[in-house]
Amino acid sequence: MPESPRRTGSSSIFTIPSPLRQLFSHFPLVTYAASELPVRCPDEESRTKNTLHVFSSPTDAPRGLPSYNPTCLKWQVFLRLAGIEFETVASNNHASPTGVLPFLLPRAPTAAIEAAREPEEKGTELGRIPLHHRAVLPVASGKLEEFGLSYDGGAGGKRVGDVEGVMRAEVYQSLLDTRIRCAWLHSLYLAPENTELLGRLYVNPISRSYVARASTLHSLRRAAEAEILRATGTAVIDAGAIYAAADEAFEALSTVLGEDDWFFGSEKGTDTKAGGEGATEKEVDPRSKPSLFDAAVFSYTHLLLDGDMAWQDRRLAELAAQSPALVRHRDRILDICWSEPVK
Amino acid sequence: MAASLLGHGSNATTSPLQDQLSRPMTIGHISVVGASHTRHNFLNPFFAPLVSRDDLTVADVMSGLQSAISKLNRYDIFEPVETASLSKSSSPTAAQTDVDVALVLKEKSRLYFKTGTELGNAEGSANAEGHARNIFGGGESLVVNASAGTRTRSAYAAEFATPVVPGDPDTRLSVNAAATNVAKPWASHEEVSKLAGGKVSWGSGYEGGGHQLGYSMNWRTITALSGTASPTVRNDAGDSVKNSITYMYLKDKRDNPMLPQSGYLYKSVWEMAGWGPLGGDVSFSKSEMEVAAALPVPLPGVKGKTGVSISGGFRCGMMYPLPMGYTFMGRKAQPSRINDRFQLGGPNDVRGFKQGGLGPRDGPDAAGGDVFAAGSVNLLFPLPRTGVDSNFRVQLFANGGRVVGLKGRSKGKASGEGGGGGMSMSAVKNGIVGSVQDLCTGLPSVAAGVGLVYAHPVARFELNFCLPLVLRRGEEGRKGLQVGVGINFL
Repeated sequence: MPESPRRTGSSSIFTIPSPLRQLFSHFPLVTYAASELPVRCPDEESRTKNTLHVFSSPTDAPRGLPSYNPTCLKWQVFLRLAGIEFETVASNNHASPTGVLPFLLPRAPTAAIEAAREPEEKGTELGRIPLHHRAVLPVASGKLEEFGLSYDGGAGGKRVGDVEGVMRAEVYQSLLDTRIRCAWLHSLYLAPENTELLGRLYVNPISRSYVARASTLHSLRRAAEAEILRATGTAVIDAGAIYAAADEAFEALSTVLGEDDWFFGSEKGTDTKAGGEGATEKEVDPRSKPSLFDAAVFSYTHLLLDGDMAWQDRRLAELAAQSPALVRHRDRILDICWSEPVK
Repeated sequence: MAASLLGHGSNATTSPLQDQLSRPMTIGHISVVGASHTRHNFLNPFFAPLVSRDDLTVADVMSGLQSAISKLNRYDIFEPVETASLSKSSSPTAAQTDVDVALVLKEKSRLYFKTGTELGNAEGSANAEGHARNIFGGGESLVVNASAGTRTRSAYAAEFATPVVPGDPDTRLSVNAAATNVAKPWASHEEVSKLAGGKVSWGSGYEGGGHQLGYSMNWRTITALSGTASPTVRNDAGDSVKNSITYMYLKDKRDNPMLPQSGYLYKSVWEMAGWGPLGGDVSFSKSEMEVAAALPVPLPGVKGKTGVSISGGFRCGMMYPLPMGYTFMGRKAQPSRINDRFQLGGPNDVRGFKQGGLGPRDGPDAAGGDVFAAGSVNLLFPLPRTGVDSNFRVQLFANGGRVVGLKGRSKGKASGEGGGGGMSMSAVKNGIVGSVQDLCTGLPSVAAGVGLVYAHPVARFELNFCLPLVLRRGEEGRKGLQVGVGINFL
């Protein structure tokens, strides 16, 4: 019932006198079954699955195809590498609890549904509480690593490694977060030749209205510009310097990867759970597993090398393509995560 | 016109007054004093029918002036004037019947600012308003206001309005723009909206009512979701542009809108969004209708007004998804978003329920519905020892309603996906038919109670003790006291 003890308890400053409480307990006189949700609302079936909300097109998302946003793709790949089953949903930043995609809506835990049932209603018609009658708390991207690492990949043991504490990883992470990200922002948001691509990915999905599109394009560009200036600490944007820095960063990444399958593979702490029998063919060498860092590198290299992205200004794409090691690394992850033909 | 004012012309016995009124009169000169900022050609149409005519009687002139004055008063340019003064024409060439008319007007201040704080409809706000009157000397006005509050987080609005038909204060054209940010706690989000539009209104006349035809472009953003926001709200979060045409008709024949004792109100609104050249992201036809009536109740042994009245109201609405573009056939329509659906419940419509407390719910959120109906019956009587004309009443009420979402979920995933495929027009039709059937066959959610009503000239206040009688699972009833402040109650 809507007026649960929780509610009466919360208004304890205005304690309800007991005769009134007795009167209240008789109301409502009749309670019917819940109203059905309107068509557009997510259905019951989608609530039984983990859903990762990412930047994606409405046609790509249901097929689980890679997101076109590096941060979203990083987490999408990480969760896939971790062996977590989830559906992708095309979304936007407004839907996210943090204001930034991605986020994950965990599937409705059946135990919680059981617990939500009031004892006397179990087994009755009213006892069948639809999944949409409980709140689902989203997992923001900051908590996704924990979510992925805590997942026990079944028979294969944990499938992803943890680069926490690997000192070098932090250094290289900052290369990704500053140099490569700046070049990415410049390439996608500011390079005039890529306006069409930017429009297709981030502007057109906003609205069909020209006014809304023009305004969005403008604010996206201003935001990218501000972020680049903040990261480079300069007063003006020097495209040459940005791409040169990105080139160095790719080179450094390529060197540190070397002939290994995964970044920092040999440095990771030993995993007590070695791969057991019944490991799937996707299983990787237990001593060397992909980590969040691999996903992060892939999120840029894949999007730069992917033919579907249709880069017109190919400066950054060509820099990424220069390193055979990074190209192999990208192909490897693509093969693991998207080897099955898409539905 | 004169005849109606004077009563029955068939009355054979002519009184001296009537005799006086039916004498011919001509206006030699009309002088309007004190309208220094008002254009000559704006004032002309009011008096033109009266001057340079020699077939008028005294009564014609009087009623003509009266009508001109009452029209002028409705422009809100001048301090209210009652009469014009007539004097025998002093011109040497004047005829015997000539009079001069002098009308002394006082223009209201052409520019004023006010600030204030308000408490109403479960919200507190502070606002500032700038008002420019009679900008070009033709009754044009510009109103700019800004407010910030607990529910309406921020609102900035500007409206420029101008009369369009000379001599007609009721036909007006206006253009407006607004930017608002409104918290919608019943659905765990805030809606940011930027809109621009224009409208024409006409036919309001002396009594309340009239027509209004408007066009607006509204860029809405559902944002700032709370942590517990449901998948329904998350799914609809983000931007959508609604381009729509709205037609509204209102007829208000109630004796007092805040505390009607007799009379009726009829209001209908029809909105068409997205179809044809309108474009935008949402496409639908949305209609809403409201009727309300009040009847005084006579009491045996009490002469005249008893102050007891019974009033009732009924509202209903339907939103019908349409395909984008020009054709209806063979195209897919997108089912309604949360910001286009109807919400029902709260102290101003179905009392005894929380705001948005009725209808389909997704977790903590009111999802709203595509079809709704709500009605109420109220019995009002004066408080003991207060007069019939007191602004206080005790009310007994029973009200109920239903909001039903568009059906079609059971037909598999295709329709439920919303974002991509959309629904075929036949699926929409079946869905609407199903929703209306559900609305009509199911018992409404009902609440009843007793309360105190205070009708202030600008708003009505209600303090009710409510008990929900019939609920649907998940609906949020309100047991106990509920406060309502507003101008439009069910």
